[in-house]
Amino acid sequence: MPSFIAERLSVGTFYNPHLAEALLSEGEHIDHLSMADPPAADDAAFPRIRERFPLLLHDYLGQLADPLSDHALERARRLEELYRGPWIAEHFQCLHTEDGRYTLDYVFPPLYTEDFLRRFVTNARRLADFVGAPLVMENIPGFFSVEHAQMSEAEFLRRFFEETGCGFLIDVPHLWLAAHYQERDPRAYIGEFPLDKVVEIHVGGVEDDRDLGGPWVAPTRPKREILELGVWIAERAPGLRAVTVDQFSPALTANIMFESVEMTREAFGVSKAERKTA
Amino acid sequence: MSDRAVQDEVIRYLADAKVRAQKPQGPICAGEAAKASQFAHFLARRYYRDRLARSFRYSHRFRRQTGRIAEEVADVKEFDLFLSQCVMGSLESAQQVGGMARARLCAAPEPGPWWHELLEYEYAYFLQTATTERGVATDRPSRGASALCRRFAWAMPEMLPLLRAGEPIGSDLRRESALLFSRTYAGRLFVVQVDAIAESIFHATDGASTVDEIAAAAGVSVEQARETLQTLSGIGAVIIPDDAS
Repeated sequence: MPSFIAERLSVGTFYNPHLAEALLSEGEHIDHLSMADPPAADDAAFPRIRERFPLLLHDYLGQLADPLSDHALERARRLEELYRGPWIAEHFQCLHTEDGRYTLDYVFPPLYTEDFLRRFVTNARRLADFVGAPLVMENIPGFFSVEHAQMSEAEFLRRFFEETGCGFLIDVPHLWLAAHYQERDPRAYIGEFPLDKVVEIHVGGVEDDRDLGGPWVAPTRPKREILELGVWIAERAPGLRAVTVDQFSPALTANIMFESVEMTREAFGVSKAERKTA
Repeated sequence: MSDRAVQDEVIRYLADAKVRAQKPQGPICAGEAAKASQFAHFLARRYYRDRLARSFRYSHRFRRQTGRIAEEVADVKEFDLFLSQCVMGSLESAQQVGGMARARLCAAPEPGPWWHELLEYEYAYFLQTATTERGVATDRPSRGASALCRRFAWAMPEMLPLLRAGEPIGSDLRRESALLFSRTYAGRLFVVQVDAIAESIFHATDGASTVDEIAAAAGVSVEQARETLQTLSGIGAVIIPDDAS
């Protein structure tokens, strides 16, 4: 199993099982793969993928607004034992009701309050301790405002990272969208976040959505503006180790996947030199 | 009200159009309710489109012949009306969307005599992928919310691998098969071939009958009924009250 690149920025993408053969035959410039789902039992390519690429655990492990069950913790540990990535990831999200009756089935941010901060700090510590791996947490955009918020998203995240020591997985399209819908300048908005905690950057595409009447994340090539913002963040993130193109969809084509990684490597100044693993 | 309870209110507001209709402002900031409704529509359209694609994947293989795929229903005008009324994850909503997809594909040119049976299979599978609603626990054995058992005129377990491999379906596969579709509490899906006894026991499990009555209706011993109900419970097909197990 290959090790994660240590001597330079690792540039990767998500593992889309329908593109496994393309990754194996033409993926020489992809440094790592993020795993959004566990490998399916009938995924014949996965053992070769695991031999070839360093993997990052980016599954849904559970919503850290609530305590994770023993089953969820065990599952997270098993997945990390399978992937052996340098860190595991979760999201600042709360998408299920506490009684489990309703779910949004999509990333959705919590209320930014003292109570939720305490919940996330406690449950994130438990997850990282149980799995025995560093935890990075990804920001999630809101589309509308809710009563009861007590602080900004940036303050919530800054205090969370200070208290837990977790790393920041900064999703650039998510922040760009949040800035867009709040009619803020993206750099000014992003500058409020704790960029010194960033370990991994997500870049990706956005497209207009008919229901939202504006842009939202989509499995397309990253916009130039998104890549430029990513580079701007990288310049302010001394702990940055990886950039991942966030594309996970059965509709994704091999061409778009490879072109997106290539655009990202170019933007971040990562050459196509042969991969050396540490 | 705790912050967690407020968050639940927001989630219910987004997932359930009836909640939005009853209390349009909900916990949303003044002037933001229209945006929240837009987001609710976005979530539901995405949810059902994703599950249609996953569930109607065999019929998708015949798109060149039929000119249609199931996900297209998420973009028709009728679906916009559905979005303003649906409860994401409910059985009723899944039946509505699955019915729209089935009707659309049924009206397409048939790639083979098994086409309608395939669509019934995919519809039943879709109900499992798109229903997160849980069955109501009673003091009698009851069925899982989306669980269903259906007899097919074709040998589906043998037919599906051939469809996946792009191989022809011979008339030798025109043989009856009984399949049970279910979903567990944790969201794991099952499609299992059942024998006549399991089929009878499942059909007799109506939420009103006792284990003894289910056994009598199925023509088996109480012990056999109890064992079968336990097995069906393990795959989410039935819910057994604690004192009946």
